[in-house]
Amino acid sequence: MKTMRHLLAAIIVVLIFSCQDDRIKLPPVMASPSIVILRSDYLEQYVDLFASTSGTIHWQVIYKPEWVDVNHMSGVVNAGPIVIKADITGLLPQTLEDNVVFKTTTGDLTIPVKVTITTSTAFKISPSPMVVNFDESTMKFTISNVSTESATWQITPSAAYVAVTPSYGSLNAGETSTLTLDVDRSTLEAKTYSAVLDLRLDGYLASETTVTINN
Amino acid sequence: MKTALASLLVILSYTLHAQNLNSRHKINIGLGVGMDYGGLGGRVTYLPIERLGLFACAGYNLNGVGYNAGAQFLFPKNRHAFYLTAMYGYNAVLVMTGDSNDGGIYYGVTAGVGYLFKIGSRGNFWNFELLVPFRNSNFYDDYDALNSMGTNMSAALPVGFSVGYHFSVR
Repeated sequence: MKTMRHLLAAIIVVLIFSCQDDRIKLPPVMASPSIVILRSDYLEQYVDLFASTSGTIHWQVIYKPEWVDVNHMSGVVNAGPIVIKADITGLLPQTLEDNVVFKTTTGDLTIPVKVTITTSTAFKISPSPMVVNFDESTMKFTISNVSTESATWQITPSAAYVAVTPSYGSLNAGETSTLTLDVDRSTLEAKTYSAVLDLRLDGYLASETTVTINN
Repeated sequence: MKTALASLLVILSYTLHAQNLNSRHKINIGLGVGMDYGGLGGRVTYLPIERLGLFACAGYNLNGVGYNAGAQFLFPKNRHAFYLTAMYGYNAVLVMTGDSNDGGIYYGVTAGVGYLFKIGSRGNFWNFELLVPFRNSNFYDDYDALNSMGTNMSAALPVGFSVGYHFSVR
């Protein structure tokens, strides 16, 4: 009897402590491609959500950063691609990385998203493009920060006969500065010239503005 | 939870035994179907005192080995008895066929009521139980997922039944 009692006590302890859910293995949802890499000239990517099952697996987006758009926020897998798009409006040149997280019937799916912004609309130059007429050797233009962050800027003309004053500075969000474009016609022939103003924001090339000079 | 339950059962088995050294201890072994038999299997019950049974069971639960351990509090009357029972162990199984031959075993507390009546002079008896499994969230998550996927499934019954025949050992 004593042995039996010890044995039963041991069995009870072993049984209870070995209890751990052995969960059913539901078919995981996968993405193709599994990582989305975007850049200024390639801002959207088609992504297939699929699973190896004939059953219906639902998904919904439960997290995405503000700069990412998904064309559908919910759906079912194996039903055609979705589009993951970067909205870089007003963003400074930079590289952004985050995730889009999907909650699916069979578990969560995370798709890393990376975008490299090389062409930015965070600063606007006006007018753009510029035309300097025959009777002008100087003209005023503005540079505006339409983003939500402050940034330093620098404008570099592509030709020696064009100069911008001031050529660099910084603007807080929403601020505008007026700049002067000077053209040195002393070395120019009687024809139309074209130059480019490179705008760099925080050191990154953000945009190019064409300047046409009628001489 | 597990620690508390295991400790309680073991302490009960020893303390009650110590208090009843002169009483006649009883053990019975049953074969049956239901969660309190591990599915289709057997159960060993030890009664340190007349009204209390401590048991462990193991069997085949359609997806593997199922087991439970628990206690019964009996209200005996002549050749039959009603009792309350509670146990910890497997209390749900999911079996998927078709695309994936897989299954899951889920653990938790199960409580219920039982009835036994003795047959013959050796103290053997038939045993019936109505059990209420308190299934955990993993089970319901997986069950809902399978349902959502359109898997053909029978509804998860909120209660379980068991029947078994027990042999009195001593």
